[in-house]
Amino acid sequence: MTLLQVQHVMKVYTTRFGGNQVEALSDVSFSVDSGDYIAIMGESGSGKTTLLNILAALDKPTRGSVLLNRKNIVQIPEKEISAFRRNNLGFVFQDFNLLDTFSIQDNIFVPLVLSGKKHKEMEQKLKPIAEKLGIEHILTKFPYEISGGQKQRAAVARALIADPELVLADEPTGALDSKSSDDLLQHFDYINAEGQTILMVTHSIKAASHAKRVLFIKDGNIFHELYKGEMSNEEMFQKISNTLAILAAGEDGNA
Amino acid sequence: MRNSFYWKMAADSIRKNWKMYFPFIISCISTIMMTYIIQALSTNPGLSEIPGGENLKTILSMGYFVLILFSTIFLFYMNSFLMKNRKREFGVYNILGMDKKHIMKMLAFETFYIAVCSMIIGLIAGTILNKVCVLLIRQMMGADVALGFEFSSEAVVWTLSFFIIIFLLILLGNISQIRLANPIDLLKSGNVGEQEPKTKWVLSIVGVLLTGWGYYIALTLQSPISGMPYAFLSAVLIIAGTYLLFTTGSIAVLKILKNNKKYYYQTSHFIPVSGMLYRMKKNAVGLGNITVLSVGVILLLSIAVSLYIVSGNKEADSQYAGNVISEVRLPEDADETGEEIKAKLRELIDQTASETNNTVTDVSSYTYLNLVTLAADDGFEVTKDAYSMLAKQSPASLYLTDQESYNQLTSDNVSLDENEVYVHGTDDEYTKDTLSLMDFQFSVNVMEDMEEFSLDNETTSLISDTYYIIVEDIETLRQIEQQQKEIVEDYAASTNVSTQISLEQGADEQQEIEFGEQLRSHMEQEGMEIVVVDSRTEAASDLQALRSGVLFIVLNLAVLLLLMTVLIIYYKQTSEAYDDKERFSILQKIGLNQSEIKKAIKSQILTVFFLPVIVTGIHILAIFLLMRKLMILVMINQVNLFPISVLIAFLVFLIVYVIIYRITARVYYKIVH
Repeated sequence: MTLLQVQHVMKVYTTRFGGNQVEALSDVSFSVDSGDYIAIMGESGSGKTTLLNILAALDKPTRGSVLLNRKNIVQIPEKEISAFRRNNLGFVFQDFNLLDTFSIQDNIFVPLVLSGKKHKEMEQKLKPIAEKLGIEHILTKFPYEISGGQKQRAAVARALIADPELVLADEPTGALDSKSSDDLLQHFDYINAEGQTILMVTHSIKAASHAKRVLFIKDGNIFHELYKGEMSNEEMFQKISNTLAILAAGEDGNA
Repeated sequence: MRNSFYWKMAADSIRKNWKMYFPFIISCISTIMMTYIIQALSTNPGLSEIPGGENLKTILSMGYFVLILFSTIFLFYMNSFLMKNRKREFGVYNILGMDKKHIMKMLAFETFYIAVCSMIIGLIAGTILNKVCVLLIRQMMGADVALGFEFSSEAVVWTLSFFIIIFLLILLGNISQIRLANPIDLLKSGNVGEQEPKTKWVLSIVGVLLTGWGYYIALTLQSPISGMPYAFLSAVLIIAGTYLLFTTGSIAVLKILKNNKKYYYQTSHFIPVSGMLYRMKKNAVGLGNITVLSVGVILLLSIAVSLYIVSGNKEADSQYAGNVISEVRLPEDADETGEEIKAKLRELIDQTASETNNTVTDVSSYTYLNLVTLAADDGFEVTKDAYSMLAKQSPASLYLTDQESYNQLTSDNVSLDENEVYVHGTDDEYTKDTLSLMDFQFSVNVMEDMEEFSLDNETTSLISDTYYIIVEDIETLRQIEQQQKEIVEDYAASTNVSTQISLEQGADEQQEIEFGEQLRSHMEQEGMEIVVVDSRTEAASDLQALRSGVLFIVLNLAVLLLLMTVLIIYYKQTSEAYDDKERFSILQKIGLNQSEIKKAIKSQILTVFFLPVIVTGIHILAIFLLMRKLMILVMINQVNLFPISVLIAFLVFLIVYVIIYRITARVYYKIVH
C-alpha cells in the first residue's frame, strides 16, 4: 500500500533582500510504501534537508504536493499542522533534540502529553518500546547524564511512542561513534521488520546500506535509485559507494 | 593593533549588544543623577538660609552614603548579567586570534564610552532635576521660591570621583574574569546544563519557621522604637525566610506538583512546571531579590506618601499652645519648690517682651516629672530595665505634676489629701484603687477628663502607655524624684518647670523667633538650667525640614530600588528567554504549535512574575502594624492615614510592575520566537 506520495515537488528560496532566487528542489517525485525503509543520500546542498523539512510539514513546497495516506499535507491549515505532525510523524534528529528539563521518560512522553493522553496510557505504551530499545534502566535519568547512543535511542523511543505512520530520521548516526551507530541501525532494522515505515536522510553509506531502498539527490533532483533486494549489507555498501563515486564524478551512470 | 581599531570595535560591540547595554547605561545614568542631586542639595548654600535647612542638609548627607552604597551594589549586579551574556562573544574573539590582552583593551574602551556617556547625561539631567528639587523643597518648607541656575561644582567633583572609582572597579572585575577563563569555558558559558535540584525538606521547613517567627515578632512587638533590635531581627528573619522559601520551598512545591502525575502530564502544566523546576536554583535567588526589593520599594513609597500627606497639613503639627515655650530644670536641692524660678521667669519674660516690643497675653507654668517605668501588679516599678532596648514588657510613661501646678495650668480646682493622687491613662484608665511607686503608696482617684499637659503628648501616648498623675504637692514630687535617682542613677529624670508664653495675636514668625532668642539669652545670664527654649515657628520649620529631608531621601531610594527591581526583572527575563529559545524550537519540531507555545510561555512568566508580588503583599500585611507604630514618629496624630499611604504605594508599585510584565513578556516572546 502506498503510504507517502511526493509529486513534482519544487522549492525555491528567495534571499532576504529579494533578487536572488535559489532553487533547492526542482522536481522531485517518489513514493513510499507502507513498511518501507528508505534512505535519501546526497551531498551537502543537494536539497536533502529541504526535502525532509517539506515531508515533516515544517516547510511548504513552492509547487507540488505531498500525500500522506492520500491526504495532501501541503494543504493542512497552520492550526492543525502541529497536531498532524504529532499524530502521524515521528522524528529522529542528528543532535537528538532531547530537552534537558525533562527526564528521559518525560522526553519520550512529550508527544503524548501534547496530544492530551492519560498518564496510564502513556506508561502502557512506553513499556514495550523501552524494552525494545533497551533503555528501561535510564528512564529516570536526565539527558545530560547519559551517552550519545542512549540519547539517540531515547529519541527513537520518542519518535515511536505515538505510533506514527512514518518515522523521519535526519542524519540519525551523524553525532554517534561507530559502535553506537551500528547499534542504532540494528534497532532501526528491528523496528522496520515490525512494520514501521522509516525515511532517513543520511551521509553515511553504512547507514544507507541498511535501507531497503536508497534515493540519491543531486542539485534538487532525484538522480538515482537503488533497491537492496536480497543483497547483504556489505554488497549494498559497495553498490552505494560506487554510485556515490559516479555521482561525484558528475557522470550519468547506470548501475 | 592601533588604538582607533579598539575605539571602533568597542563602539560596535555596544551597538550590537544594545539590548543588553541599554538597561545598564540607564542604570548608570540614573544612579549618577541621583547621587549628584543629593550631594548638590546637601551643599546648597541657599538651603541653609531657610529655617530648618541645616537639619535637612545633615539628613541629606547621611542619605548620600546610603545611596552610594546602593549604587555600587546595583551597578555590579547589572554588570554581572551583562558579562554572563557576553562571555561567549569573547570566547569567539579569543579563538579567532584576539589575545586576552586585546579583549581587555576593548573592554576598557567600552567601559570608557559608557562611563563618559552616562556621566555627561547623568550630570546634565541631575542639574536640571536638582533645580526642580530645590524649588520643591523650598515650597514644601514654605520659603520663597527663587529661580536661578543651580550648579554645584563641588557635587560634580564628588560624584565624578565616586563613579570613576565604581567604573574602574567594574572594569577590573571584568578583566579578572576574562583573564582567568580559557576560551572553551568562555564559549560554553551560558549553556551549562543544570541538574535538577533536590528537595530539601528541612530547609523548606526552616524557611517557613523563620518567616513565621519574623511575622510573629512584627505582629506582637509593642514598641518598635524601644524594641528596635527586635524590629531589626524581625526584618532579618523575614528576609532570610524569604530566600529560603524561594530556594527550597518553591522546589518542594514544584516537586509535589511533578509527582502528581495526573496534574503534571497535562499540556498546560508539563512544560512550565519542568521548565521552572529546571532553573529554580538560579531563579529562586532572583525571585527572592525581587521580593525583598519590592517590599523595600513599597515601604519607602508608603513613607514618602505619608510624609507628603502630613506636610500638606501644617496646622495639625503645632504641638505648642503658646508661641514660645521654655523648660527649666529645677536644682537638685530637694527643698527647692520652683516658686522662685517661676517668679524669676515671669520677670524675664516681661523684660524680654518690652525689649522686643511684644505684648505677652498669657503665661502658664507648671512643674512636672516624667518617669519611665514598668507596669507592676499594684502600681509602677521604677527600674533600669524600663530603659532596656530588649525589655520584654513595653514601658509605661508617667507624667507627674503637683496639684497647685495643675490648678494653675487648667484653672481647675482639684484638691487632694495626703497620699492621694489623681490618675488618668491615655490608652486605658488605671483600674486599681491603690498605686505603689517605689516606697510611696497612694490611694487612687481616676480622673478621665484630666488635661494631658505633656508637650509631646500625642507622640508619647502612641508609642508607650502613658499615665498622667497629680500628686498632692511639690514636695511629694521632689521626693519621688530623689528616690528614682537612687534607683536608676544615670537614667534619672528631673523635675522641670515648663512655661508656655502666648504673644499678642499678630506677632509674626520673626518676632516669635526673636522673642525666643532674647529670652534664652536672659535665662542663660541668670544661670538657669535650660532644657529648651523654642518658638512655634522654629519647631514647625524644624519638623518640616526633617520631613522634607526624609521625604526626599526616601523618595530617591524608593525610585532607585524600583529601578533596580525593574532592571533585574528585565535582565532575568531576557537571559532566560535566550536559554529557553532552543527548548521551544525543539518542542515546535516535535509538534507544539504557536498558540500552545504562547500559552506555555505565558503561564511560566505569569508565575515567575506574580509569585514575588503575592509574597510581597503578604509580607507587607505582616509588618504593617510594626510600620504603623514606627510611622507615629513622623505622622504623629495623622497616623490613621498610614493605611491609605500603603495602599497608594502598593498601587503605584503594582502599576509599574504590570507595565514591566507586559514589556518583558513581549521581549521574551520575541526572542524565543
